[in-house]
Amino acid sequence: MVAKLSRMISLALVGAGVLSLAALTSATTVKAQDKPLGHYNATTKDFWLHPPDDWWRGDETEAQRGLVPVPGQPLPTPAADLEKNLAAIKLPPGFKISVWASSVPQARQMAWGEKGTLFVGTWDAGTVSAVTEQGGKRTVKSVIKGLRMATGVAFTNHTLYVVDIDKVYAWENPEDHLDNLGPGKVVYDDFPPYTPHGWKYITVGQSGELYIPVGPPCNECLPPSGTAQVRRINAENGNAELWAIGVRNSVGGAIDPRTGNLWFSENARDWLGDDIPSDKLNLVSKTGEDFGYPYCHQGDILDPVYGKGHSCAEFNPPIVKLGPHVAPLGMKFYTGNQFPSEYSGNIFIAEHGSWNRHQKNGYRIERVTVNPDGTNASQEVFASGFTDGTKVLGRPTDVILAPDGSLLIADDQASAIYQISYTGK
Amino acid sequence: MSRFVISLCALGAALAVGAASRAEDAKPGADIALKDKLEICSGCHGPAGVSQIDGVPNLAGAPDLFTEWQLVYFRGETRMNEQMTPQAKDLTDSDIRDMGAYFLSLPAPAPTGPDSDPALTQAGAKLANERHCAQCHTETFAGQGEVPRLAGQREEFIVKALHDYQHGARRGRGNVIMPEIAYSLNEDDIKAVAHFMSRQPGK
Repeated sequence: MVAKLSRMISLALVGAGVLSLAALTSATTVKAQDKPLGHYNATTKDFWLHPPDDWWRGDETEAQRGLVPVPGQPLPTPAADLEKNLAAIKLPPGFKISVWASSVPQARQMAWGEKGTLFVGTWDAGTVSAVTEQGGKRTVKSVIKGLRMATGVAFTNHTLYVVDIDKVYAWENPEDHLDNLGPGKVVYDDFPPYTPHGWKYITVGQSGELYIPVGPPCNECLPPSGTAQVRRINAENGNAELWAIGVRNSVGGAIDPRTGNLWFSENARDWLGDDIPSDKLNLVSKTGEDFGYPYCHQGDILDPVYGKGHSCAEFNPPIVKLGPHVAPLGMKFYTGNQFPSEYSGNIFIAEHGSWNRHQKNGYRIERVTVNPDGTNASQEVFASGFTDGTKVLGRPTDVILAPDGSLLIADDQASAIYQISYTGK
Repeated sequence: MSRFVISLCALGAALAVGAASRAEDAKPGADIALKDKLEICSGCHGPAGVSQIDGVPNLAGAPDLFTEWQLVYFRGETRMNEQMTPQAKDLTDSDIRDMGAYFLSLPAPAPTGPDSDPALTQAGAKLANERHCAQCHTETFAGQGEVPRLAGQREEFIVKALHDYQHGARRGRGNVIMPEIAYSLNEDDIKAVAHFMSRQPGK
């Protein structure tokens, strides 16, 4: 409810004493079953600042050995190759896709400035790019450097906001001095310092408030204080409210223009298998709802370790199960006029694509049709073909509407931004 | 001598691959031949990508994406290093691609001579297993994709890299997972892992 929320909770947890957690065993292999129970001393500040490394690894079965995150592509795909790649993208009839900008390093969340600049975050490059247009020619420039995980960017109230792990930075009227933005003003600094799942996304609410998720610094664990949640932050005074809890790694959200409610995408845990659990699309209909992590996954699977003693009925189920390991990231409601009317109010979600399963899944733009209260939800693939099952041509990270009602797609693999337009042909 | 000949052949191959994409670059350094840029690399990293200098890593046999990422981070001022950040400033995309291919093509250094401390190697092997190093660095620790080769790397450089991760000094790829792994290693552990990795043949 207040700023300094995480600090208060961490005091309470230190008071709770030694936590003895069951080791992250998996029932599926003998090897895992043979492991002794883990013992963690949670009484020190050090423990919470540096979670044990077995919170990430050690859960994999023999069959899962060697599954690693998809290697990133360091250099942008040359413009000529991008055109070739786009020929493989499948879209519904009447839509076309083209390259909007190339050489946008590690393109992640996008935000429009009020003077037509598109700001684009990155991941571990720690930079923010600005795409400007003059005389029909687009120029990409790195305007902010030196951050660690500059994934989430937003623009509201004449101000560019960038969230970097534990801080939100602000630049007022940045488009007036793009060549020299300076270090930015810290407007919020009360996020936990963890890098793992510490990259974030900013969803701007209808009154300019910033909804920002805080991931747990682990695959599956009892989340350290102040993590596994979504906060609503007032950037003017630094106050924060807890908006949702029980949230794993969320890197996407959007406000329903029909209600003002927050919807968000959520990446489910790894190592339970190729086909479970499903990643989620969630709706927060009232403050403080619990979405189940680490106890319940995809609304109906109890965690083999942390689920003991719980029932999934205790938690908010997802509105849509998006599929196992598809990695849903940035999302938007369609509020433009260019697409046919049946698209109005639909949700587009960028699916980064899987790594924690043997066959690739995701690597596409998903379309969700749903009532404001979450009923009558249906989903279909809108744009696919960013992988042929082996080779990865692109990894969608975010979507945003262009002023003409077309849809822009950010891709951090090819370091490019695409445009999907409706032509009716 | 033979190593030098091999590296020149590999350089020729890398240059041929890179020549086609050269035209699109208009950076200040674009008119300098790759060969001359690689000569600057070899000044510290050794003519065959095998370093003779403490604190300077071997690059021979490094996965191409790893080399490319690091150069991109140095060039973009994500990874700040007194020597490398300025060196990489004017590299073009095709230089970086060529350098990735070039260092991968060089024969990786293999440990020679008897192990000076077999007990330390054993302790390092145990730690490597417990910390699941092979999950990303591969079973032979030869690395893959963006994940660096550890096998045959200079011992003191692995120590330095783990210290950098411990203190949050290393930016860019790896800073999601490596800080927590490095943090939980004590000085003896770090020495053991570094010694073990430096002794691995990588195949």
